Amino acid sequence: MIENIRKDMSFHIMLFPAVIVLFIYNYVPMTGAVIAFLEYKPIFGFFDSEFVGLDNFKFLFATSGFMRAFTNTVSIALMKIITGMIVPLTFSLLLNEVGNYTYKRVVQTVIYLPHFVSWVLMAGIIIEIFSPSGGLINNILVWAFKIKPIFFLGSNTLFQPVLVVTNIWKEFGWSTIIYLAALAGVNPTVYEAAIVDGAGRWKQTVHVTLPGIMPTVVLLTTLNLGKILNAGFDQVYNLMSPITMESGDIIDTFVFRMGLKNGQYSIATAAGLFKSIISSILIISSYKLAYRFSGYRLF
Amino acid sequence: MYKSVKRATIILLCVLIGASMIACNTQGSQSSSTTKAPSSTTTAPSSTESQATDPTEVKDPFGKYAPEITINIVRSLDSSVVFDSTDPNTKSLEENLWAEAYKDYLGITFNYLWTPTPEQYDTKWNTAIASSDIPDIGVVNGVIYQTLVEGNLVEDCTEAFNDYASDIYKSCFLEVTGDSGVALNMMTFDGKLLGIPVPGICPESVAHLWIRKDWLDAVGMTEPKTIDDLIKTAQAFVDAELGGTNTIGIALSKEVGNMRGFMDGCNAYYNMWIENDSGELVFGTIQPEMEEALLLLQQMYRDGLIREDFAVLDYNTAGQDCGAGKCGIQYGGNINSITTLKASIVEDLSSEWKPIQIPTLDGSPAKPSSSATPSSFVFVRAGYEYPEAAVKLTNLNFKLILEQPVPYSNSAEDGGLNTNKYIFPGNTALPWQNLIMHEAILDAITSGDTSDLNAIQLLTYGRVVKGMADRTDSPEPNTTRLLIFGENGSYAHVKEYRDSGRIVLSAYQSFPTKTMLTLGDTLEENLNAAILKVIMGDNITTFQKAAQEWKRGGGDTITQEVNEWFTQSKNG
Amino acid sequence: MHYKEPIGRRTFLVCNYIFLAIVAVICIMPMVHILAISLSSESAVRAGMVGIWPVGLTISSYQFVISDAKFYTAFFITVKRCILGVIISMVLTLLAGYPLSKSARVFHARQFYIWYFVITMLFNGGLIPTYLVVNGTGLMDSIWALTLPIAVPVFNVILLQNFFKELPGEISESAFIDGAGHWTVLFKIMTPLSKPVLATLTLFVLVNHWNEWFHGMIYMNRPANYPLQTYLQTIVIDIDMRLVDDISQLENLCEKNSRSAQIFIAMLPIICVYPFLQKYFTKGIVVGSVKG
Repeated sequence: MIENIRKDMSFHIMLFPAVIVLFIYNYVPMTGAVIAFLEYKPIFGFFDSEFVGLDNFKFLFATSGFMRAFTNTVSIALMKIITGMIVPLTFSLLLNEVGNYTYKRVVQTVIYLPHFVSWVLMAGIIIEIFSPSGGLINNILVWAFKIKPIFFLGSNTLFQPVLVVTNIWKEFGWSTIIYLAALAGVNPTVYEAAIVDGAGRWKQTVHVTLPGIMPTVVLLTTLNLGKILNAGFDQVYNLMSPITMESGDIIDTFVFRMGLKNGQYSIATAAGLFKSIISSILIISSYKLAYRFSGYRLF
Repeated sequence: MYKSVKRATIILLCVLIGASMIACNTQGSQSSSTTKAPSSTTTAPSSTESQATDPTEVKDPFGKYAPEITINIVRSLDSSVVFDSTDPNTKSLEENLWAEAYKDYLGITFNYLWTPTPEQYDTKWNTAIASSDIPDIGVVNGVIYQTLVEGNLVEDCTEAFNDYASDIYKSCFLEVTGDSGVALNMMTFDGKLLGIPVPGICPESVAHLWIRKDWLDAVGMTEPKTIDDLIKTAQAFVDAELGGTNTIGIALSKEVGNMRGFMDGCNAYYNMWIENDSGELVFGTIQPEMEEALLLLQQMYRDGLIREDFAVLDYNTAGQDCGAGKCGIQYGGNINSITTLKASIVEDLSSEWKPIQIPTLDGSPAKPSSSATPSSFVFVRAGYEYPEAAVKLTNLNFKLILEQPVPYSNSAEDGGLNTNKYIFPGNTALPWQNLIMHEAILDAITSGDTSDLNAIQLLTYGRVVKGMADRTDSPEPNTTRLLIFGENGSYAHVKEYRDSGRIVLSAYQSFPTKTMLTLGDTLEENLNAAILKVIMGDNITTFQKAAQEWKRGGGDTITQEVNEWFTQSKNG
Repeated sequence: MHYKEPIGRRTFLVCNYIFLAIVAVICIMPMVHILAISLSSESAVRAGMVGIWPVGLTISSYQFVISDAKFYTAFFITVKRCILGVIISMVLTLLAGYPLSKSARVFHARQFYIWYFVITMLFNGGLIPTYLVVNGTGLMDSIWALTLPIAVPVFNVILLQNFFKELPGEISESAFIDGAGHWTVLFKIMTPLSKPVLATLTLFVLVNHWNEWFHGMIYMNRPANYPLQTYLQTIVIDIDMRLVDDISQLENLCEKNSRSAQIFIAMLPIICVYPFLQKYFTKGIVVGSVKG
């Protein structure tokens, strides 16, 4: 092993700075997760707060509404991940087809803008747009399809889709950039070869472009999988109302109510730990499955 | 090979240099932070000696410290605290007329450890506590206060308060002029007053019904006295389409707490603890009276008097309908003319908004709910040498505000800056301050003599008088002030409520209990969901089930905890 | 040679243009609305009367935000942290991305390191423990508190190493044969080839530093050290309803106005920088470098 380290010395040196930074600012604080097993009060610190074992977890799981928050989180996050993969990908492919350089640039810039608007401000706008009494969307629907206005944000069946759609609007620009960069990295000679072989644009897309960026797509999706229990606190907090709690309450809003507001760090940390463990299981499983079935290392 | 070794060495050197820079920073800031604290302890021995030497020394509420002391304090800062560096009176947080006053009168200088925004203030406190970096004096909320008490970090200020508080300060905690001692009781543990109380808490925040008189005239109706009248009025407004085709009868929002005005009128007290006939405290929200209130609201919703998506709107957004002239009725507090209704008052000169007392089921005089429980507490660090400094500072605050409001309590509208924002420990107000102003203004209007008014009162008096005279002569902010402080303004009603003793307070007057802290919000949200759903049409059983859920899911435990306190407070 | 594209292709292109235009409009509409709010009078905003055009045109929200000298101090602190942050992060990302892109055969400890990095994305100590470490390493009130704790954006590292993996091996092979070491290959060969990805990652780091406000709030004790977004957070007013003066404050400023103005001021620099980085996204690089 020492032999190997000597051989790879350049690599170890290159990694050294990053490793140190991560150690100090990520791994050392991780030990603070012990708060989840204490009845933590900042006054007493880690060592004098009472050790309560799994009590915080038990309390969390036993509180009615937790399971509901958990299932909501998974369903919302899953929808966001799937749409978060398909929409930017499609869009970047479409954008790639645009010949006019300025047009492309303008569109690229514009779609990135919504990312900067906070949900606090967007929530008001969204409520107005989706309102059943004079909101834009309903106006269009009523005019086009002659149906009664739909109370989107008050319906437990429609609340999650609204969350997903509005989230796409806000964030798809970000992922599109990554895909565009990946597209720019596809070797042009392969395109040339394809054209020589008589492939039209569509065939080129399917046989050259997609395989060319597939590793990036898969990677992004896997990494997003790790965030599956983050369904988006800011967005949900600002758009949810008591009547949509059934479908909208996610782990983060649930925990926020339970104590983060009041500085009850033990419960918040327990929930955080719970989420981390689930995410890890997911990532490790996907990694192993991908390796087992295709010999491909996800990262 | 040689080249890459050379390169590696260079990079390694950079890393080492970078690391040593961090180390230097560590040492640097550690030494600077350790020199900060001793500034108060090094001056301490000499002045403690001079103070302790004379036991018969007069305990002067305004006694100056010599030599001067520096107190480590913290406060929140937001955009309402404005400075002007060209004027020495308002130059900066460290250099302004109040900082001068503290120095000249009391010999006190402040060393601000940190000044986050109000939103992050509590988080900053928690991190400070975790890293054992707490100030000498500072204002905290109830939760943090309790943690500090639990950790034995709060100084016993019983003597400091009793001996040094000025008469005015003490009057803040008396029966009529103040909060009847609630704050003092809450902060007394085993007979010891831990920290000092924040003055100014009084139950002046009640709900009023804000309604448009011009619309009442248009439909030929008088001000509603009963709930039934109210419903008929709203219906009349909608039928006459006074606000356009989509007139809204009454503006409700998802914030159930703001429906208090309606519920109080039905004797249903939302989120309050009421003493029942057996002398126990019960939770107002789940009492039978609430069911009747909900059914009435449900009927109103069914009749189209309430906006269809009200349950997803927050209070201000719902109020926009009133501001835009689409709605003529909104339950609100004392200053709605400045918030939700302002647009309508300013832009539409034909609108005549006015606050009236909330209608009741049977037309009997209303009994609105309010709160007199403090949410801020002045913390004094255990072991701090000068706990009475906190008391003296408050004494001085009041003295200067009342005696010399001109430089010390300027209003932005005079063209200056809000100077009383520089006060320690944040903002300090006297109880019933606004009500007193209202009374003073009315007196001045009747007698024509304005000599007794202080600067702010005089200014508001001017506005009220202008508002009374001519609506078209710049209605803003004159009319808005008239509606608050004028003869039939919100504070006129507050006065009437207070003088006739009809304000209802929650019988539980202490800190949130253990279960309230963890489960309270969740339980409340579940109840709110049921309330909103019933209003939107669900059968009342939804609410009844939710009430049972509330009890089972933690409400019973909370009730128990609350009653334990109640019994103790009655006996102890 | 100019050949006429098949009709299917032309229709597609036209529809594509139209579709993209619609999407662009949908994206920009709410922004126009917010811009209008920031330029409207306070009472109009309160009444919800503002659509796409400002009502009661006024620039008082902007004046309010930028009139304070503190704004400029905060602005320069953010500029400082962005430059510092981008340099540190990109250097560390490049240094880490290269070894991680090697297969486990070539770099024996690769698997260990990759999990070392990935785990930090999954587990988090939380606010208090991180605060204690930052405090304990003496970074409070310094620009390093804003840059060091987030100096290694693991997500970017993973992206980069993935990209490096995909580059044709022949290029670096020929370099090694010519006697180049890993450092040379990394900086002289692979970095220039990765411009699109590096531009993307730079943008992300830049935007992150530009928008980040929470660290600024809790790690800076003196408001003079606040970065821009943290400072903008302080524009919110905390009203004490008992005080008449606060009432007059309420009258003069509507929160929505100032928040909207905040957004635009915050966005402007990024929008200015973005076009410059864009040209890197659109160029393919690996042209003619592989012979035979």
